[in-house]
Amino acid sequence: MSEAVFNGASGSGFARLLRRFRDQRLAVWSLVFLAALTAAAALAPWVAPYDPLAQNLDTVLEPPGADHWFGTDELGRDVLSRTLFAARISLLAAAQAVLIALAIGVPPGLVAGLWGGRMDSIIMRATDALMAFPPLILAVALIAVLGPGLTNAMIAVGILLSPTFLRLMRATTMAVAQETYVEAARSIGCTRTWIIRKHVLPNVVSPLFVQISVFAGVAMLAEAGLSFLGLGAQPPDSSWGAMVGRGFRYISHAPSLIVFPGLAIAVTVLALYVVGDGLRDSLGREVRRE
Amino acid sequence: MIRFVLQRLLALIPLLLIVSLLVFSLVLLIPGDPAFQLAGEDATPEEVEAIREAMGMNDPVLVRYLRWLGGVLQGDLGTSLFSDQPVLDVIVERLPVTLSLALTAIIFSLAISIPAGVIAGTRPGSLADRLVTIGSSVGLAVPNFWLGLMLILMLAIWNPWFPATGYTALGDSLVGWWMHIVLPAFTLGLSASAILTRQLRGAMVDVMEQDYVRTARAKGLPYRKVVTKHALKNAAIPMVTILGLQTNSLLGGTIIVEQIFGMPGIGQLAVSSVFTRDLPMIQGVVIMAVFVAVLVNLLVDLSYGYFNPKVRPQ
Amino acid sequence: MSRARICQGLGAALVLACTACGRYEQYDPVAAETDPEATARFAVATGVTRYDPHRATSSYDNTWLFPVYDRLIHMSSAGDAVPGLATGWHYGDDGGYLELTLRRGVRFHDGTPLDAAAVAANLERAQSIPGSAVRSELDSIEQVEIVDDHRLRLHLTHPDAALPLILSDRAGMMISPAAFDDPSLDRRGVGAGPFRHLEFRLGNRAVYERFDHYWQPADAGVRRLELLLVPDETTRLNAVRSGQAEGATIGTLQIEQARISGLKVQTGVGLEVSHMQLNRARSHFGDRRVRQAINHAIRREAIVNALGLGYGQPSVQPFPEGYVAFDAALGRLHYDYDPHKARALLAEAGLSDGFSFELIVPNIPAFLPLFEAIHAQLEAVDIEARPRMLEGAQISERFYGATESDAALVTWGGRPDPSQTLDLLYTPGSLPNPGGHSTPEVMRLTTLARRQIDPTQRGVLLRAATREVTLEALDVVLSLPSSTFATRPNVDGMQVWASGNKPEFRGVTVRR
Repeated sequence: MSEAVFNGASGSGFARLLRRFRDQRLAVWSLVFLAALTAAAALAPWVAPYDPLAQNLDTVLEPPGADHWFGTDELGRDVLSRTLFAARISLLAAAQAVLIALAIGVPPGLVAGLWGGRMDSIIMRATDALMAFPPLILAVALIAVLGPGLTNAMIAVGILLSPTFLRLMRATTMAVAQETYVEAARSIGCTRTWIIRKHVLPNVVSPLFVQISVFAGVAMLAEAGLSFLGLGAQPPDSSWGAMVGRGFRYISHAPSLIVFPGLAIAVTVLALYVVGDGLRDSLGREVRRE
Repeated sequence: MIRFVLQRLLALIPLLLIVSLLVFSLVLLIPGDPAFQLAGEDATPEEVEAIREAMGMNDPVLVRYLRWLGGVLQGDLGTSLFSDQPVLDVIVERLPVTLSLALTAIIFSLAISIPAGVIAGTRPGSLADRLVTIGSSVGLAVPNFWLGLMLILMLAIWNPWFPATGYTALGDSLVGWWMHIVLPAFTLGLSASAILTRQLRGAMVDVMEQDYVRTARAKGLPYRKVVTKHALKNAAIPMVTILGLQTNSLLGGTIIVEQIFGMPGIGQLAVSSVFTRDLPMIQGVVIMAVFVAVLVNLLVDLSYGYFNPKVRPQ
Repeated sequence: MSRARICQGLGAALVLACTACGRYEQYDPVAAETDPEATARFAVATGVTRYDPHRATSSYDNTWLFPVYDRLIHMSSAGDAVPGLATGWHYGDDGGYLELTLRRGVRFHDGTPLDAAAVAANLERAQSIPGSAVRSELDSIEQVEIVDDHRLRLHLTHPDAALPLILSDRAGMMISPAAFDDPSLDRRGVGAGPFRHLEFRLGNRAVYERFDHYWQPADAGVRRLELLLVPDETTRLNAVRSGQAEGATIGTLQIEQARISGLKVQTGVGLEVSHMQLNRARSHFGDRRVRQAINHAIRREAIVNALGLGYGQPSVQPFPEGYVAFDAALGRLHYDYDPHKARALLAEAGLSDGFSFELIVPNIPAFLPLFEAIHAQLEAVDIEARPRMLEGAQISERFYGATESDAALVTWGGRPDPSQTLDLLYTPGSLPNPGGHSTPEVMRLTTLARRQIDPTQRGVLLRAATREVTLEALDVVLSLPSSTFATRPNVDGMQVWASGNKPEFRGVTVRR
């Protein structure tokens, strides 16, 4: 399926989108930063100066210094190493939530857009109901049901984000479905699957990528918030949000415990947003041109 | 107009029904037996069963749903498993905290976004515009809990200008309330102000290029007057919509902000109820939050219809 | 009538009350005088289950019940039984009965006289009301005989030396018999304590007013007492700093901050126990060598220093140093930190490759670092503690009720009488001993200590029982945590009681 997307898109808007994107310096640098971060997270076992779980009860809550650049936590663990390892959890969690949102949102969006009628109105009613909940409150209620934990928290976040994907898919699909060439294809008896593959998917790839990039940032913030509250990542796993949540108790003893992981979240989310903005601007110019 | 309001209200009914079903189904999905919790440490299985019976937990699901819904419609949200108090009473007592936090956050976000959006939107491409754009991106990216903690660190611990946490009711002391609300409201309102700024900037750029604005300027109207009288007024309409949408995330954001600043509001109640598995309380909080959100969005809808007659169906 | 001293030899070590608290005192203690009309507001961490003391399920309910309900016997801040509503008590017939002499002229808040009939009615209710949480504590009372208006005899099935201190707990709280059947008793208490209960709001606040006819007027030092439930410790401290409350229970991490803010801090070790409780019928915990190995693997002093910032008492015994049941010969750290010995003991038990067990951990932020420290130290001797995070009520449900987990990292709230703790934690047949494992010697000594009414001989038996529990390593005691209260500088008389985090507000006064 995804191969079909890229094949279908290669000659058209998507490739041009990438070319436009290359011209946006800030967005490109953000993408480089994200790539570097992902690499550092993947290579954390080799890059990190210490074992993130190695405790030393004799050197707890130390301020940043030569031995420990980011200081040590309440169990004497190296905060820099923990921040690097937490990057894995934070990045994976964001990816997980976006994938869940795509899985929940895209198929019904396609169905609603292409089938229309009663199916469409049922799906849209359900979406409206979902969107009536204040997002974090819905997430907390879902976690109350599923139990605290990173995967459960990301399922909750995925459910929260899915309506936007659904609406995006529905709107694009509807627009495509009304094009004359699609109607023509339908009249000569082409199957819906064929229409989706040949006409719909290529057209939604670009706006979808913009949305994915922005939502990766939103998902990361949501994960951080939930983990901060103790509803997300559980020990021994630690995400940046969970690190800040734990450091909270030591705010007057060791501020570095919250400063560094918090900065990591802010910079990463900012990079994701800038990439998303860059993609949208490339897309915008594309649209304007046509 | 009355017909329009009625139509909007009627359209809410299926929405609220679906919401109520979702909220009720939380009870069915949640693991653990509240009867065991109520019975206490030394209870026998018979005593637990008696409590189940008394709570009506042995009835069919549909009966339980209708009974619950009937209660909700009459303002009976059940009884907290944790404190034995009526859920509605607890929520009503805490609601002023959350509402005063959210309202102040909205006022802060408007106070930031209107000047920032106007300055940036009337001078697209200028240094001020670029600064505002970068600032709003940063504002969106900073996690609110981290911002809150940094504010506590800098303005309450290192420089003890504000109380780090806590809340004073408006009725008890105006100054005390203000001192306690400044940091949390700013924390909560920052991301909303970033979104509003972006929105207003975009709208201003568009409006400033409209013919009537050009005409007004050509007529020799003072620039300041053109901006406030014509441009801002028109650019403000979409802002109302965004503000309505932001109310939802603001209500959600109170969960984290109240936790950091130790404010006894609905958000704190929600989190502590998750940890104590106080289901009726969680349901009550969710219902109340949805109720407020739906109400706000209805008001936004109506004000939209009021300002722009085209929206009103004939 | 002579005062029966059940606990003795309890030195100053039990309550290490902080004396250097007034460093930042802002008020001149001479110039400002006590205000008899003052209001004292106190923020605490745990709520109350109900105001009916016989059916209140948590020992932490006591904080909310103490102001309203007077008890037959009081517990001094050092843990001794001292006169309360009963001015004296003695055993008769070789422990066949306990005779109580009541204070004369005492009335409940509603005017009902507090006489022998009222006490008998209370004890009968406590034993018989459905859902009674104190029934098992009063097990030994077979029959209550009213001798005259102010004397009654509790006829016992067997001598029960724990009874006087049991009567200083919820089991000995006297409810006005006129309120027995009042359905609002769960929410509004009617007792004979130093304060009348005015209102209880929404599970998070209670208001009390001085009872002008209390038999010891000095105990009600303020006109109004308010208790506030504030689960978050930062918020509690800030409430005191901002003057929203006169005092609060705080955590050890906050002590320095409280002092810098000019508050008074009282901190001391009570009868609470921080331990990793084992279900000795599960995993490999039936083997003494395994239990000893775990005890040797834990670095208690480092844990207390790093996580409690030095507050609290590292110990392997479930009682504080100097307490009647503390065995000084064994000392606090009989199991020193010795990973090699731990490995040797495991090898001896045939577990040279280590093993893994499930450990329940409360999902409260404060417990995470403790769990991680324990986890790492056990890992060093190849034991894996698999965490299972649960919320408070679920812990009792899963660990004690369903006995489906191997161990739990919990705090034992302590009991007024040491034989209660020994009985409940280390002998079969009680809920707090999941698995019901014990040893014949521990059971023998505990039963003897429970029945020995001579204080001196009883002390010997209690210490022998503790020694046996410790040598058998029935438990993995980590430390005796400290309880800490912060008050505004104009508050006097706040003290750390033996019960630890269940403060009484007797004699607390506020200066103008």
